[in-house]
Amino acid sequence: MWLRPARPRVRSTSRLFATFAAASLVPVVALGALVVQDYRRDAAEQGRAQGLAQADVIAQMVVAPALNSGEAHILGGDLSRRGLTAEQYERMRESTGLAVYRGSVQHLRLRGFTGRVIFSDDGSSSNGVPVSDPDFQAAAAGAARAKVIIGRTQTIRVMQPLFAGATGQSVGVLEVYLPYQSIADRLDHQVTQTVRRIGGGLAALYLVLALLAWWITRSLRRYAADQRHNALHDALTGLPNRVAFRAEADAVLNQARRDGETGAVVLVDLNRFKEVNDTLGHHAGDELLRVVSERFRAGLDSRDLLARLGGDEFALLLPGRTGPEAVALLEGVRDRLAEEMVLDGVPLSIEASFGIALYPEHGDHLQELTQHADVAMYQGKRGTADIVIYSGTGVAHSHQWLVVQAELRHALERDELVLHYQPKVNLPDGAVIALEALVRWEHPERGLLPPGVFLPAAEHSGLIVPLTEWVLRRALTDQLGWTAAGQSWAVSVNVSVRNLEVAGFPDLVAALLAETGTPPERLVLEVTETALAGDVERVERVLAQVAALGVGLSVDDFGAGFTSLSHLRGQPVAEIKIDRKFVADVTHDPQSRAIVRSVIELAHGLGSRVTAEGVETAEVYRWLIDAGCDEAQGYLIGRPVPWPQVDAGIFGLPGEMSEATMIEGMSR
Amino acid sequence: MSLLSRAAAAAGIALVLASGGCTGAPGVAVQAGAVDEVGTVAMDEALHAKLPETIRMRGFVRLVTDASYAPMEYFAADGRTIIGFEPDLAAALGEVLGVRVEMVVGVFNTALDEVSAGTYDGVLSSMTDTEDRRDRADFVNYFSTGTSILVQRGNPKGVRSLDDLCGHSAAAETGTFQEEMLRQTAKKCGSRPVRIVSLPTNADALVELRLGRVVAALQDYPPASYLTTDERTSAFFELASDEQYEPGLFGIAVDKHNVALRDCLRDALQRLIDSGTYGDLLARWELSASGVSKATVNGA
Repeated sequence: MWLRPARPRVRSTSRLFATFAAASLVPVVALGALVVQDYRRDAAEQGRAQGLAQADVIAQMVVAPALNSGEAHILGGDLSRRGLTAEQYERMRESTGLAVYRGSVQHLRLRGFTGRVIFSDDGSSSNGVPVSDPDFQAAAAGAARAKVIIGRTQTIRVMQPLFAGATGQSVGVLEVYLPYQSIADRLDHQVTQTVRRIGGGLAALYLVLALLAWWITRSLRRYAADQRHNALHDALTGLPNRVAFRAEADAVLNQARRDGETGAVVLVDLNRFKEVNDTLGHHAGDELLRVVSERFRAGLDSRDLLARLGGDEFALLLPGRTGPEAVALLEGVRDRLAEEMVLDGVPLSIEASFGIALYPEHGDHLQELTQHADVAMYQGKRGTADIVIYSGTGVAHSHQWLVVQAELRHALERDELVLHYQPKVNLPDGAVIALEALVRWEHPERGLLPPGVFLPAAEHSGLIVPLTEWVLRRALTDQLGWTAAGQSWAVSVNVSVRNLEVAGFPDLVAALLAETGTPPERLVLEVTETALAGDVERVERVLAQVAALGVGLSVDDFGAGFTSLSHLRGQPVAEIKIDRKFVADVTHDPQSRAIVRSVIELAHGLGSRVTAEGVETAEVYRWLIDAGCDEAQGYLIGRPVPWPQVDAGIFGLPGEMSEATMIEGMSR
Repeated sequence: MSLLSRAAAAAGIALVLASGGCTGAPGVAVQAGAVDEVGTVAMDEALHAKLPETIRMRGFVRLVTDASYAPMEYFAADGRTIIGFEPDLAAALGEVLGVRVEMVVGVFNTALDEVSAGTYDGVLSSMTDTEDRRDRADFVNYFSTGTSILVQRGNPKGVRSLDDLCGHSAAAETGTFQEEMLRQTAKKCGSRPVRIVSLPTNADALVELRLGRVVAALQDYPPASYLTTDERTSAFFELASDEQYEPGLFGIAVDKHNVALRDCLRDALQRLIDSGTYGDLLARWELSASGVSKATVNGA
């Protein structure tokens, strides 16, 4: 929905690639340098070895024969002691002259161990390596040394022991200078070529590495982008998900807090989505969500944020809008959504409930705002308006609800709930004919809690289902108790619309009846009037199933809600309970009287009995008898108490029955 | 982990205690630095005292040698150090006598003359103790061997014995017993004389043989055997037969008038034989077959 700036990521990938490239360049260059250095050293070593070998040949083929000529004069030690005989000297000149002249040997000297020059190619006796030179010392000690001397041309100087004869005795030092330039040139050429080859190879290798690095970083970047997108987006609709919404909305709200901007957070819940999913299958449900998202998008500005929180829940952040503006926008969206669409050949019209919380009016943090929007949305769901702005009053206990829900869950486990019963008497004789089960919570800290404190919270969550189940079971069990005590009272249990939406509710009722052996006509299920206004078809189907068991159905709080009378038509209703609002006013409000009378007539016309709730005065009681009401219930007759405390006697008005009897009856 | 290290520490303490106990026990005190020298012999003060005073005074004995006779005596790769069995033996003798025994390179043929002239105190150069030489020197015998005929590998002229040398040329070092043997052989050849090539060193004789300028070279069995087994030379030389001709004794030649030195050397050698050092030195140079069991003078 909103565009994320892509530049920083690109920069970080190019930096990653640069790091890769630099990191692989280091070993490549190091390897190259190492190899070249080794190769150079080997080449130099090879040159010296060649020089040594050449000097060896000269020593053995030229020098030794010349020295060996004549007598055994040479034997027994150091040349510097004796020098050469004239004959030996002449032979040396003859045998070295040509090589020296042609330059194959640049210089050649025979040295005694003391350093004395015994023979030199040019006749001088003062030149030569100093005795202190390490190479001279090594040669005198028997080890040959070669050294490249770089002057105008390169020359290799070999110092080696002079083995004059076959015995292997060293008699001095041979100092030979051989031309090295051509050898050096050849070696240089070899080195250059090798460097080129290795350099080329390494460059190619580096190129491959760099390509790999580039390819990998690109793959990584794409993968990371995908991952990021997946983490923040809903796969089905491509919309930002809850995490992304939270992050983005937090950012917007922070900004708004700083700049004092206004806006709205909206939660949207599709009505009857579950039905589509259940009847047409998940595929159709998915398709529906896709279509809905597109319609949402079409109705929003680019600055608005749309996210799918999960299931059929969507969230909107509408920055810079006032309440009316938001409502106006959402009305447009609602109308778009309501346009008919065809899924699997079935024409559908989608309705949604919108809960709006405004900032900074209803809070400036996302959590607060979404809670309020949630409350508003549920308010809408319960009522008729589908776009509701949080009012700040009413069911604003969302947070407390969460606590209550958690505690209630424990209460069910720990059996902290108890049932109180309020008697319902027949008119006009005043005989108790039924008890209405009313749940109370013996809260370990807060004492006995009335249902108004926790039932809305239970209803808001799924807890109402196990709660009702618990009440049903307990009520039927208690009924066994009073049956055994000789009473034939029926028992009424309040059922939430949520119970009716849970699959298998009729089966549960049947099972519990069978379990306790209760005749079905002794159980009455009271359904709030508004339940009939919800998912009509489903509720009707379930009610029909329950009625088929023989269980009596009662419409509770009749007149308080918005029940269409048409709903009553198809229902197997055994009893209609008039809401206490009307009952309390019958003595002084003609309109209430008219309504109550009409309801009584209506009920009788439908074949149902009528029960008046909230009967608190004898005046009302009498009026109801006169009006032809069938049954009455209220504090006048009896407050909710544990069943053993229910007054089993015939109810009589104070005037017609002594006060003492009544108190006695209450206290029993 | 900690248990293990604690166990190791305990073991270490136990070891220290145990070794402490051992040093306390009576044992042979070993002189420092002597442990790794096998067969080292102590200086014999009595023998030292018997040395001629001049030698005692200067502290060394100089023996002349021709270092071309591996493994008896020859130059190391540096061309200056003389190594071999005889330098080792000389050093050992020096140890016993309490003087330095030096090996000096010289010409074999004139070695005895140099001794007579007093240049050197003796000759230690694989010199065979012969009757003729006894006229000029006394010999302290330290080695026993015969002479071999060395030919080119493959023995191209089919030399099997000394007689086969008739009509061919053969080389020997000037002044050696082998040169004399060739002369004796030549006398028996009649119309097909042996051409005798005498050379200043044994190495020169081997050069002649290697180059094919002589058919055979005569030398003592140990160096001949060394040549035919050493990897650098075995490709070129072989023994004509396994026979050792005219076996005899080598001796350190000492001037006939220098009886004191002669006897000192003899006694010192006997000391080396007795102590096992002599045997050890022979073994080092793979010459054990040629050892003598008793130090003698002039073969007796």
